Amino acid sequence: MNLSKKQILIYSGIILILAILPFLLGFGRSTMTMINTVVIYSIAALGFNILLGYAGQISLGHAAFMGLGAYVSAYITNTLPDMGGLEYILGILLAGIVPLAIGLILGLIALRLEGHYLAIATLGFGVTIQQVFKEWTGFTNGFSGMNAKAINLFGISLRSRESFYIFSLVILVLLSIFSYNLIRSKIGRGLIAMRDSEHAAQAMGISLFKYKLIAFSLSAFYAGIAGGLYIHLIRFVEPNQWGVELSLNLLAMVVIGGLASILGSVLGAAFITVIPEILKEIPLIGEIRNFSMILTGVALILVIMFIPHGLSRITYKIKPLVKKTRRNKKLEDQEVV
Amino acid sequence: MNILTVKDLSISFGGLKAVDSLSFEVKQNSIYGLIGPNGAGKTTVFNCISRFYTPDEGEIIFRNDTKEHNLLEYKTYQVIEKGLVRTFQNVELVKTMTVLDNILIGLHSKTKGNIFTEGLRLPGVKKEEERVKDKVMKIIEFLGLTGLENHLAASQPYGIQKLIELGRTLVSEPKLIILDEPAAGMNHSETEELAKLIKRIRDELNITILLVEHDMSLVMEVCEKICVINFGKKIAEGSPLEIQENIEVQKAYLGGEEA
Amino acid sequence: MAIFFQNIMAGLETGSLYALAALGLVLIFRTSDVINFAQGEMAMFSTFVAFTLFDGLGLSYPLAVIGALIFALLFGFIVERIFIRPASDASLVSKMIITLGLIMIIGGLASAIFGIDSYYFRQAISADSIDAAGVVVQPNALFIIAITLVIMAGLFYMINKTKVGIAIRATAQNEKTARLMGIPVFKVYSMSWIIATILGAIAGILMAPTTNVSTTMMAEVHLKSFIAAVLGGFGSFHGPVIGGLIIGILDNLVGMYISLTWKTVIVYGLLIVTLIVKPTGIFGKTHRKKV
Repeated sequence: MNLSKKQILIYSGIILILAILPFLLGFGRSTMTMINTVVIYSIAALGFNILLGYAGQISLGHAAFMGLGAYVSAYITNTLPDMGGLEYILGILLAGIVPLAIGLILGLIALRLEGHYLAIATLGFGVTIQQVFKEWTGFTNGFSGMNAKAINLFGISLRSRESFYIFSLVILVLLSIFSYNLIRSKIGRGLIAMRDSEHAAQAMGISLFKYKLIAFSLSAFYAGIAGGLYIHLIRFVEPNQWGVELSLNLLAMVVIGGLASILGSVLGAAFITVIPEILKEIPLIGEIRNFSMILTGVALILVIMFIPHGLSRITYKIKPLVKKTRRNKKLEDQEVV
Repeated sequence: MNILTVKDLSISFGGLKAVDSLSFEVKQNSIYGLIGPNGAGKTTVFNCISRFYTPDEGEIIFRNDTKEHNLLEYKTYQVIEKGLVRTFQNVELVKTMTVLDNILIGLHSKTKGNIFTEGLRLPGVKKEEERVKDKVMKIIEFLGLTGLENHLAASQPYGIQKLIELGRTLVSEPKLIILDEPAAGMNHSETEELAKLIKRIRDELNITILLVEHDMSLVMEVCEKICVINFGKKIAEGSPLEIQENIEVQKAYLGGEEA
Repeated sequence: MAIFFQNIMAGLETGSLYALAALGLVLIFRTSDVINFAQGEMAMFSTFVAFTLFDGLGLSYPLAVIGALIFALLFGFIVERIFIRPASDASLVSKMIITLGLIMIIGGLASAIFGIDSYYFRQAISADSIDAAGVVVQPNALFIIAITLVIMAGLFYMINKTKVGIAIRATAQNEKTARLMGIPVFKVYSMSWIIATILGAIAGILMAPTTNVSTTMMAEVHLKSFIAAVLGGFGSFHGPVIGGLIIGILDNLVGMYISLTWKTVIVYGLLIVTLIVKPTGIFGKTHRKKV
């Protein structure tokens, strides 16, 4: 599981290239918006993957956590006086912490029970919070929506899509490292043990309740951070975007991209964000309303039935073909699963 | 001194009494066997002791050195902290993990760290990881599994998987291990190896062993005291020799064979 | 006081529909161990079929309804055969994900085929309302309550007294044993999906005059049926029915006396309270899981 020095170097290189690429290629504004959206959804998917991929729990309310993050950060940065940039850091942090706290409370209630109650409780939670977004006008400005400012960090404005991209990419990388660190230590082992054998996990001292709760509230945190970033990118938010459709899309990202995989979370976010844009350009198919939604549903079901590791493992299957010499014992072992 | 005392244990499933006021005691540093025909309720007793089930009646007292624990006060995941740990009949390993990581799970409750220190990988975490890995390597050596630590647990043969599971319990430094049919699915020579290993665990690591077993040869070879149950009730208790000569026991087993 | 009874009446009307939908959920959950999150979307689609037969093809109302129910029968059968059965050995989570994928497919198809506008669909019975001591009673409401009672009675008779019912209950109790006893569990799966889809379609068609026919028409019923199932307990067949009626009445009383806008929030609060106080629902029992 631990990365070798060489691998760390390769990953750092890839991230660096990804960071420079938009500047070299000079994408248009709408393409840059899309790329930024991929980064933001990757963050939410990363968190959702801890919940679904590692803890094996389904949530249908993560759009609400994301929306909550967006509103919290918008409210704070609109209300606080200019503090040079501190207010944005505070806003985005609280965008994560408020959902985390609410997730903790909801989890305490719904996770005491075995099985399916979290999915149902979060289904209701999603609808309820969306209702709150619509009605609590003092906080959200209701149906008219709410504007937010572009981030200005100590004199550096993130108004341009390119500078925002660097900022959000840094956060994505930091949160990926956090996830990765967690997964390869005690808590990660606990989560994986719980997913693969609940009985063994319990006998070895792992409290299923506690670990599901960790996964749920952590995923709410990630979703909230993603929402907090989103609001400062698009700079406008309204209640309708945070419905169950978005929650389903988050789930689809994680499943299609690859359960229990950091890379998979990013691939899935890219798939779900980019595919509709491509489909729109194709004649005939582009005219069919909601075609991308149907396709996502089909892909979701096909992946869960036939490709349990999603897109992330496809790279594993390609790698040995590209570089036969690097086909070491470890890789073969992984194929056995 | 008794390390485990089971007193008047009863549990029923939908009106059927699986265990009926069963009492027995396990002496410290002994190897104790719980046997009986199929469906006698052996595993159910185990599941009560390891707190997967909550019995309808009875007491289960576990004594670790000077401290007495009423196990019924604890949840399933708290039992290991008290110094009691179990294995499963159909080896419950984490299939996607290496041998090393699987055994590391056994140290879960003894590994320091929380979400912040681990997520941020603060300096202490690396040290702690090294500390627990060293412990695991010692167990791997004890079990003769050296060289396999970085292989996937699921790709190992059944006999090795059983050893890995045993290693996972040993690494937690328990006072009492309960083994659920450790010889199931093993051939004769493997069973003999296992018998030796069980004795080594008791002699070298000073761990008391309670085992549920179907394989008579193993039980007769390693156990100092045996309790025979049938239909959830104790029908005999004594040394292997006494049990072999007991007519009740013979009847139960023959009856069991017929049914 | 008349207003109070008026609300009780309205509550029983919507509550009946929640109950029908909840019963469908529990039937599928108990037999094939799947939580069908697509139940609402499936019901919406069937309702669109009824509406299209009635409005587009000009069939009479009863014929359009019968047509839609036949469609629902096939719909339930096909969904179970194509999407659920191949995954019958998969985990509960995988099966849930499949039904979530179905939401996207069915919802997407519905808006691609039927559009995203909403249409008025007539009531089953359009007679003038009756004034009973100040309480205005719509014959259609009485019809809905009556038809729900008839369906429930029929269903409970079937579950408790007939051979099919015994097969359903045996499968619900323990699938493995049922299989060993020679019960064709796959037929039971099919059967419960068909019945549940028909129940959903009936709920949708009867709900349509209130919500209009649109792709989002079942959102409320869907959520409330889940709350009803949790409130009544997934463990019994009668629990969710009573749960549905309670939710329906409460919905209306809260809307009348407390706040219309916060109705959904308050009813959701009830779900949370249920999970805290009685996690297995009013009629639920805890089961001991085999290790």
